[in-house]
Amino acid sequence: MNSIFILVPIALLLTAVAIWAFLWAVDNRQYDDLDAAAQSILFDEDPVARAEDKSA
Amino acid sequence: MLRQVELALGDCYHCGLPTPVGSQYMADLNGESRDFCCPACLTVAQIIVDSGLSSFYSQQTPSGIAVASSIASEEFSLFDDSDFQQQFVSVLAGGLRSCTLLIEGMHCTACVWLLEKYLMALPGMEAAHISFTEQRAELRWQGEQLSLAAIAAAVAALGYRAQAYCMDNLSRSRTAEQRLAMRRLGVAGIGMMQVTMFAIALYAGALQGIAQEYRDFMRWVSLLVATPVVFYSAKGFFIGAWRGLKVAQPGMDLPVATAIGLAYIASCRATLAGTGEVYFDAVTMFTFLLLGARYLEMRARHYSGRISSDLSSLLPSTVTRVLSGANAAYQSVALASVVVGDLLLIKPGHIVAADGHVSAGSSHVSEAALSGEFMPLAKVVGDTLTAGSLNGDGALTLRVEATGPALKLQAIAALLARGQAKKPGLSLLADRYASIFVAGILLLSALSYGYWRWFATAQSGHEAFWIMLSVLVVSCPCALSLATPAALTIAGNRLRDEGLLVTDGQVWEKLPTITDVVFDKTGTLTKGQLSLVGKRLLSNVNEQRCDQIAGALEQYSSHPIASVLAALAATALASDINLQGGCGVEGTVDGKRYRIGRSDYACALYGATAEPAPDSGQWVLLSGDQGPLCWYELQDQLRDDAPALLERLHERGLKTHILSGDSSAQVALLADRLAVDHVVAGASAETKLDYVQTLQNSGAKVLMLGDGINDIPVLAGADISIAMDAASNLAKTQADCISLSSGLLTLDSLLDMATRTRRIIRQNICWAVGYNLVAIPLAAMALIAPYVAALGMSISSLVVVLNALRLQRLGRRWFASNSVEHMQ
Repeated sequence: MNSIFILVPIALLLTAVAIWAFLWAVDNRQYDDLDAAAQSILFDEDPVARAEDKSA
Repeated sequence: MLRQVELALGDCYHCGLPTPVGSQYMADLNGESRDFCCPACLTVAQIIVDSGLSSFYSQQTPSGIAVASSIASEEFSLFDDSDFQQQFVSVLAGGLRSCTLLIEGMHCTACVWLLEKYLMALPGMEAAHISFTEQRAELRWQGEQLSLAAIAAAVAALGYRAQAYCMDNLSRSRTAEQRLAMRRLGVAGIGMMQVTMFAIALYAGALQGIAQEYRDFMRWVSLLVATPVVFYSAKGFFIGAWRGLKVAQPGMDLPVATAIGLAYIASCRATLAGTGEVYFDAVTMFTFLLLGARYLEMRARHYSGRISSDLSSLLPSTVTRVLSGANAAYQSVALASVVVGDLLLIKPGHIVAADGHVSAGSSHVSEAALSGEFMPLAKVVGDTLTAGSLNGDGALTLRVEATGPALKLQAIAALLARGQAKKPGLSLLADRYASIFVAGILLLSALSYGYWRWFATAQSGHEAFWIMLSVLVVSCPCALSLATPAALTIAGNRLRDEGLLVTDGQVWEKLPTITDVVFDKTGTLTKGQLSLVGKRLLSNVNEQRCDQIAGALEQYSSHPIASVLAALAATALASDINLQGGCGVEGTVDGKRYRIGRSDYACALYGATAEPAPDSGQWVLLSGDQGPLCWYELQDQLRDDAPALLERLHERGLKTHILSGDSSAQVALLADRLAVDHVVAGASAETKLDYVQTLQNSGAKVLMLGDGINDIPVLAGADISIAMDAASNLAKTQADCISLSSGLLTLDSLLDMATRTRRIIRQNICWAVGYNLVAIPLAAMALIAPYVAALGMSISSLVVVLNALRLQRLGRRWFASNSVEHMQ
């Protein structure tokens, strides 16, 4: 059970990293537009470019 | 060769407007033949498909794209003007330029995708980042390869409109508010996940035993994680509570801050002393849930706020000035630099930018924006023009007599202020009750502390403190303060999916009390565009032949009536055309003279004075030199779901009214058909506001639906207002709800949802109050262990949220059955 004295601090460290990463993302405008990003995955890649990729 | 043309209506492939199948604007796109409503839409669609971006059409929401408009390229030369460049464009190292543009006309995220892809394909474009939420584009490009004017032209080529974006203080503070809310929410979320994980270990430990050292360790870690949540994420609640206390009007923030603060302090104390209970999990979870609800509420509020609320945004930012001198030269200038006495060229399809008189040219001008009357008025030299009206078919030269604050358009702003001032005040009833509740709880916990400390001799002071905390924690007003926002948030999201955006929380409270529903006619109950609804043959010439003649003649006119009738014939056969502004068209088809237009004009061809129209509708007569041939009836068509909506409103026992700027007999006909209770035709913006205020003075609660600029004051003055999808931006900012789809039945959904929401809120409040009534006495009697109190507090909040979630489910079932019914 003594392992939690190591594992929990590691978890805390990871939490701190997660919070830092989140704040960094907010400051870098990643969360400014929640509408477009949510749907961008639904769009196909540019079909023209894809055709060129295939032929290349 | 002639093709028989049916008057079946399809949808324009680009903008979704009704379009005759087999219209003259057709194109083969990706091997399929598509119909378009106008050449501009066709051009845009061609650009989109040719750029390989056709998946735009599979992703865009069906509510319709901004109708494409073709704008001449000289419009954009202003963007390359050196003054403009200095003000808005920043020059970066390596010849890079950057600029932020406001993009108008984006209606869904597919537009963002389309614009980004298309702009990135321009040679020299380095980065194009478009934000749908903020409706703006941030661009970076190579100054040598690309000009800003070319970029603006590219945006316009897709049917959107680019404007210089000047970040005002309001939008700057909005962005800051949005980011801060997101940061706080994120920190609370991550913190909550961690603390809950440790709490599970602690709860399990409390049940089956845990060594003191592990328990204390877990508590210390929880304290560490919960601290930033309380001091950073929940900071807003503390500030709000303090502000409320300072002005002696404690709001919902006070109970929230009290609960978070006391539970946190008690938990810290327990952790330091190594005895007692900790509530870090409840503190973080509660903070996260409340922040989440507030974040969603803020987004809805910002949605309506992001659209410009400035009246002058209705006017174009650039105009074409006619330079005085012998040779008529034109120059594109900014509207702000126009002064009284200037001559402006108003091109067909453009918005009149200033008040004045026509000094050359003739045209039909729609003043729909100002009067609600959408039939264009004929304007010739000497007639007045009002800023904000839309020029129709001809080019006009305007002599400017007023600009800026002197515009007649600004009179609307004065009315608007009057409407806003009369708006019924905010009701803060729930908040007031919560304050009383909190005061009561504080008193009660003080009393129980006093009792156990000094009267119940068996207890020591230390235990009395824990009993007091149990009372505070178990009574936590969380459930009470979550009861309403949880239900409102879920109901609001449900309706947003359905196509109605609620931007003011008061709507829910007021909707069940509504007694009268007031509609604007054009654009609200009707579609706001003419279509052919009937024909009446007057001779032995058959219908098909009449249609061919009418269509052939009307090809040459660009009056709105003509564009409807022109769709009747696919090929033009007429020659020797004579256009008579305000009357009709005369021309030769297969060697014979025909006229189409107003009755007196058409009859004059065969020597009669005028043929009486079949009824009071809007009729156009086609005649030959031997006599009349056919009547065509044109009408602004009723929205498909209008009769169903009116029927349901009557079933609910609501009184209905129509207030229309239109003064024709059409209004009465329409009201008759829909069985509307009261009708006022020919109403100005002022009459409308007066009418609604008279209703309100007699005790009615008024729900108003409208779309035009003339509806803005009345939208602001009504108890609840809904702006239609096609409404001007300004109308939207004044409305409590915005219809995102063109369906009217969403209003019925809204009324239904409001009733359900109110029921859920009542259940939630009953539960929260009932729980407190049972739990507080038990805690005060020292019958509840503090950890049970913390559990109770979390569970009571969860029950409230889960109950609110039922709105989503109920809503879905109801909408499903409703849509089936509608289809049948």
